[in-house]
Amino acid sequence: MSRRVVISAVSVISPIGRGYDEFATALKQGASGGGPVSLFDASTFPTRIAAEVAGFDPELPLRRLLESERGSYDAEISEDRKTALGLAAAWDLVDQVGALKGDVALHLGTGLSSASVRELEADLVPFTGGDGSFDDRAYGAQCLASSSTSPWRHLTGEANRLMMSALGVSGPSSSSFAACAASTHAIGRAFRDVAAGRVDRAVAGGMDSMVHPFGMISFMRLGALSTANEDPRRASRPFDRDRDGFLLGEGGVLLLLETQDAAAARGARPLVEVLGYGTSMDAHAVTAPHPEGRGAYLAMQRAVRDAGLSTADVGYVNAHGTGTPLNDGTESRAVRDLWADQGHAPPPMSSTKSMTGHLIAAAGALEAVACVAALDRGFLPPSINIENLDPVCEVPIVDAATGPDADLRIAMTNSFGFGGQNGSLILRRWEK
Amino acid sequence: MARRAVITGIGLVSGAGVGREAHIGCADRLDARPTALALFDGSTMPVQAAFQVSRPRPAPFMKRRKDLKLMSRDAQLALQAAGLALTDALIAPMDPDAWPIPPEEAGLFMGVGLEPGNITELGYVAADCSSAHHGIDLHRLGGSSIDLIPPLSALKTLPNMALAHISINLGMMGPGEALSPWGTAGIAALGVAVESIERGECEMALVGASDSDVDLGGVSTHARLGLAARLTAAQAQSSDLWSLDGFVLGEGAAFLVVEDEALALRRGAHIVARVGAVASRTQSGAALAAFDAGCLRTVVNQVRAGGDLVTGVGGHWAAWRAAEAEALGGDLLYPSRATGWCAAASGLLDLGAALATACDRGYHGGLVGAAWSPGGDCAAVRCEVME
Repeated sequence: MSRRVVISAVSVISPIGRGYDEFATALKQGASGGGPVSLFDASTFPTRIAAEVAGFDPELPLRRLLESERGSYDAEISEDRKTALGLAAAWDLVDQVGALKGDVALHLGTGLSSASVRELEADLVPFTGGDGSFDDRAYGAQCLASSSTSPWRHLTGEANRLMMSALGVSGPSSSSFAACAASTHAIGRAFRDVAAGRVDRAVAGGMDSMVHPFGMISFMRLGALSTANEDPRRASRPFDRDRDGFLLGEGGVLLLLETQDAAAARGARPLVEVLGYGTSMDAHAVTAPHPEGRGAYLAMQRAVRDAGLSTADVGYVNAHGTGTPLNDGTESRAVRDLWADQGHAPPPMSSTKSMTGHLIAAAGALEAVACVAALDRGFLPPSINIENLDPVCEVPIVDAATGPDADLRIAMTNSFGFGGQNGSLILRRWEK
Repeated sequence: MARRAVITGIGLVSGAGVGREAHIGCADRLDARPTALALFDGSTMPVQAAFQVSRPRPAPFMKRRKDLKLMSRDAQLALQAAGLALTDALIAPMDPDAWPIPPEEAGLFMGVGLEPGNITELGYVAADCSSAHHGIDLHRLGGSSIDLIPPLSALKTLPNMALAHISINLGMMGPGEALSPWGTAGIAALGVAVESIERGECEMALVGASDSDVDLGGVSTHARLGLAARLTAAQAQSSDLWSLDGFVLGEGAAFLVVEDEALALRRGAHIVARVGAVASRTQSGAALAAFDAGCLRTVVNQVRAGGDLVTGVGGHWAAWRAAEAEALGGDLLYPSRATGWCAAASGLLDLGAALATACDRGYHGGLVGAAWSPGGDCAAVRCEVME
């Protein structure tokens, strides 16, 4: 039998604020996290802007783990900023809710582990020649002698292991690799675990930072990043006619999902209830969404069905809304079609990536928290930076500089990943 | 009436061979030997042999063969195994009209693994923008060196791309998820698929896992992690491979067709097994590469019943095998004797090979597939063999 599942705590480290209150306030105010890349010298890169988490020290969460004696880690893992962001989010959650008892699931959306500059310098540069050659036989012979311990940071479950140690919990655990839909899928896994009774509590979310040379190069080579280098705060402009790609963001985001009874047992006030989850695949192309938004349509339809609702019940859609020329049009078409097929007009929609940038594997979790804030505090998060609304976007967009107040009861959040993997979640304002 | 998930098709590709028949009796193949690394010159490496697939052949299951250049070796292995599983389930992979349900409604759940990236490709980039004394020059990297990185190279390292290629080529638009962690990934994906079928989200799903780490980056990573036994090509032919101090590397893919039992009966499919309980667990505070016998015992005991056959993880790694035997008790099956450690594909490949063997030998009863990942992740599933 399915049990009611609530979200009763969130932990947010984002480009527009750290902690739920700060993030929710910035979201309503229409803040932008965009700025010049400061984490490395990007001055010759075609894209030199990003939405970074200002002032984040990746050493701190790892040092705390070591001092807590809850688990071991290799010092070189601290080079992995995304793991450090996730671990910092885990500590923030521990500071909010204390120790969680019993088996607790942990499901994370995890991003690609690109090579770091230091790894290349330690592992590959010694085997390069001045003539542009690379001696892979010499590399192979010396691979054990390298001082780098970087393989650990590329292990798919390493972040889970460290974060479970920080949280002090054991239980079912997974990493979702659905690209930009990863943490939405992770929240969906947690929802299913708690609803089905496998655990009473689950922590879910994601962490990512591709704001490093090879991370940014990956997206630049795909033509996905905005090159509006002169105006980074206005570079992320989903649904604008002149959008030219997304602004890379970074962050760590966790949500505590539990049964209503489990929340009551620790005296917690639920923020929202999780009602539905749906996934789909585009079956179209590895780099482009289905031109008619068919995969997006199916994910949303399945989430609405899973929630036992009609589209008319949904009062707000937090769009995947990347700001790439292809995504925004197909997504708005899918929303228009799904609502029309059920005989309803589409609800207000916005892309909070206009403020936060695109957190890739952590995007879905951050946007789920945006919906939590919207439902909990009664406002519609705005889509900022729209100067000329693209007529291809046939859905009412919350085209505003700040978030208007709204008596919002049910919200949907969408995530659509490279390779055509899609996920949608439906959340409801907490009602006993 | 409650839905019940059954397995009706098995598709396997590994160093042991291609297809279900080739994996019968893997656990008994005392003469199975890895071969010298074939994808690159590994003669200088500490690990020089692996159980390898001579050549992935996904083409019969592709709409456009030119897309092959976009596919990593993992993805090619995955698509081939997925096509074989459907064929084994009496479903024509490339004839959507003949599927028992529209492919658009079929689920696809995959375990995926580590993608270390193309070391040689990165090596040439490093050579172009570095000097021995000054390391990487970011100005050059962001300027002229950037063009050395192929535009679509990232698409070969994204772990979910194998799932994407299967969905694209077979037209699957149902529920889909790509999961890790690593060695437990396939079993975890099976658990998600079973739940999806039992909840009515889909009537049928492809469940699989694939991994290929027999390239320069994968072999060096496993060697540096201490997971791969140091084995020269000559030792691979002469040593006692059942007493090594690490895994023998392998590569492969395993896919199962899982469907609602009512659908299987309606369409006259051969039911290989009913899928029972699935359990997974990550143990907090586990050491990086240590085998956590307690965690594995916990998940196996959550699913197994008395008299069940159980697949083990340890394979060629003697100390591990001993610890596993002590933790789980009794004799365990090791199909990896002929396939090697196939990382993310390991758990499901072991299960698929054991199911193929059990069916061939007329075994009726419980079979538990167990899996492990570095860092304390364990998973297990119980199947009731029917065929």
